[in-house]
Amino acid sequence: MREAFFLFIVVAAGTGGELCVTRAMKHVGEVTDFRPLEVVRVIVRAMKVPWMWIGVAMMALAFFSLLAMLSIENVSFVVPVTALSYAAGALGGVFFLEERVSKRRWVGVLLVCIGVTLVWLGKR
Amino acid sequence: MMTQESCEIGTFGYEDLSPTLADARLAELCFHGFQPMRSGVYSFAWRVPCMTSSSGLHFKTYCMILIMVVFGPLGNVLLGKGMKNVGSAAIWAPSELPHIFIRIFTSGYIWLGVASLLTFFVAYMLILSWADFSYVQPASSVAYLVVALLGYFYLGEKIAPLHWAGIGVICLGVFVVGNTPPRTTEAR
Repeated sequence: MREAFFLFIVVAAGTGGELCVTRAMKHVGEVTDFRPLEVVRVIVRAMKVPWMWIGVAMMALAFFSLLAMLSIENVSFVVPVTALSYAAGALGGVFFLEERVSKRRWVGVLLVCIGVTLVWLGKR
Repeated sequence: MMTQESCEIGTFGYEDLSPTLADARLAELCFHGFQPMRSGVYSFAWRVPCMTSSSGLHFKTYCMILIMVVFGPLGNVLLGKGMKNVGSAAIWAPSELPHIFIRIFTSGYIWLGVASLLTFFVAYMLILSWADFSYVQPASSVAYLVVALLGYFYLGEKIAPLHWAGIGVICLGVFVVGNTPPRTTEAR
């Protein structure tokens, strides 16, 4: 069951990382100027926000867990089941970023969960 | 210079449509990147970012989506192939981790996979600079199917019918998730 453990890390750390980076970027403010020097300034500003570092560390952890999962299971199994991060993203958005999630989006999340269950059952 | 400014390109009346049909028409316009605005009780004006009115931009958008849909799954498949050579994590012991990291970082397939994923990421960032997230994300749901096809044909993986059905439902789910308004935290 190591693959289930690694899947949990991929989904939880990946989504957690994205939420932390989103929080950091909201702190930095909207980027409206895309000239190279301005982009570098935004990156430097983002690096000063602790949430950014936590986010990047979590994303790195998710990447290495994905590699570990790919060493155990087929890629046609691993990549589809990591779509569970859409469910984690919707939950994280609601509880962590206080976003409103539409009914339609919940339907999509439910479909993703059903699909992941089918893929998991189809592996057996 | 390209800007995000929008220009009005036309209106359509709503008297001859039932409310349901009018709503469906509006939803369709939104999906194609138009920004319908109510201009009267029975009519809508629709706005479209000026730059999307050129056919060149449509071509560029389709090219970028193609790059995303090919290089994202290809990157994952190459990572998968590389990791199969490294050995299964099901039997990794903590003391072996330094050796495993060395094997990962000296694998050509892993670096090709990372390069492919970086190409995907750059295309994704570029396309988001002119197209809406709610337009790009449903298109990228096909990537889950492409990954399975690459696994099946290129790596010779066995995929059961239930597994294919699951992948289809996931694609549909991701399409539905992506095809919803990307911003919900504030009213315009």
